[in-house]
Amino acid sequence: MKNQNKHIDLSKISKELPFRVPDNYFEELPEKIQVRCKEAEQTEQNGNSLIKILKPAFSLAAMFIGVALLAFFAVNIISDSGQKQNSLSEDIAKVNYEEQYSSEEEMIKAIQEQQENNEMNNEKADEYIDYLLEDDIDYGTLIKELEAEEQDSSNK
Amino acid sequence: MADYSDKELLQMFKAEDTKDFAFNVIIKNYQERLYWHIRKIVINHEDADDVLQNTFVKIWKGLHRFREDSKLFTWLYRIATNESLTFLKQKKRRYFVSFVDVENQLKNTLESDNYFSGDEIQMKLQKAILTLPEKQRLVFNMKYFDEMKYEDMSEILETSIGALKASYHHAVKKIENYLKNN
Repeated sequence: MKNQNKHIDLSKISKELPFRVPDNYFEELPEKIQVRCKEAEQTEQNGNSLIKILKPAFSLAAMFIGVALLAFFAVNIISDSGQKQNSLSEDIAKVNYEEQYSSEEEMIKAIQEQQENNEMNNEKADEYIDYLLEDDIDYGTLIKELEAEEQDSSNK
Repeated sequence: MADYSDKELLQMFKAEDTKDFAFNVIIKNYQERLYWHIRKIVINHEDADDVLQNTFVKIWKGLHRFREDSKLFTWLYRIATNESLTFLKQKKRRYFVSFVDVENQLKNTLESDNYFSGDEIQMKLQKAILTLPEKQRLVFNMKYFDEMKYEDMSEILETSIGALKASYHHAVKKIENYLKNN
């Protein structure tokens, strides 16, 4: 058998295709194809009509997104300019300090002095409050006494 | 059924009231030739049936754009060839994942095919054809079984006549070697 196969000549092999198809295949095929084509056409039309239906909704959504983006950028621009203003006033204060004080040490000393003054003022305010509380002097009486004192001094 | 020329069928297809009729005639005129062309590429009947139906759906969708600067038959063959090759590519991609050789799978299909009606030598020839590279396989089938003209093949496969002749020559040599050694 193997030896016989070695002498197979291509030109001697039948050119008829060695395949079969199920019975009535070609008779039934045109109808099947027509149905498939109509289905494909219907699907395409449905797809197109869906696009047509959704088109206004998409347009509206796109418009809202556009407005939202515009608002977002506008807010960003405004807050940026606010930040710029803040940083500008900080810069001005810095320049003022730099004009007033020749060195950084001097500037720190001045700030410390200012803080001490503030503390002293706060202490004085505390003393006044204690005095008013201890002698049970109400705010209205204090105002009256001050007004009277002011009148006396003006009469003099 | 009356005989219509391709030109008449195309004109009828363009008119809405005769479109379905014309397409039905086109199917009847070409279904067998296209089926056998596809079957030789994909081997299995079920696959050939699927590819053929897809081919006709594509033809239905695209026929109104067909310009008559080429023959209708070569245009139909080109669509059928592209559909078959796309099908095989998808199959290869599927089998590549599972590490199975598609050519071997096609050979197995051939052996287990209920619709194979050939003898042992014809089976051997089909197996030999499956050892060819895809393009050579196409050229060999179209020339050997369909006895198609190189001019038409050139139009369908978009390849020069010289390249097709060389391809067929190589394919015949390989098949003869296969038949001698297996």
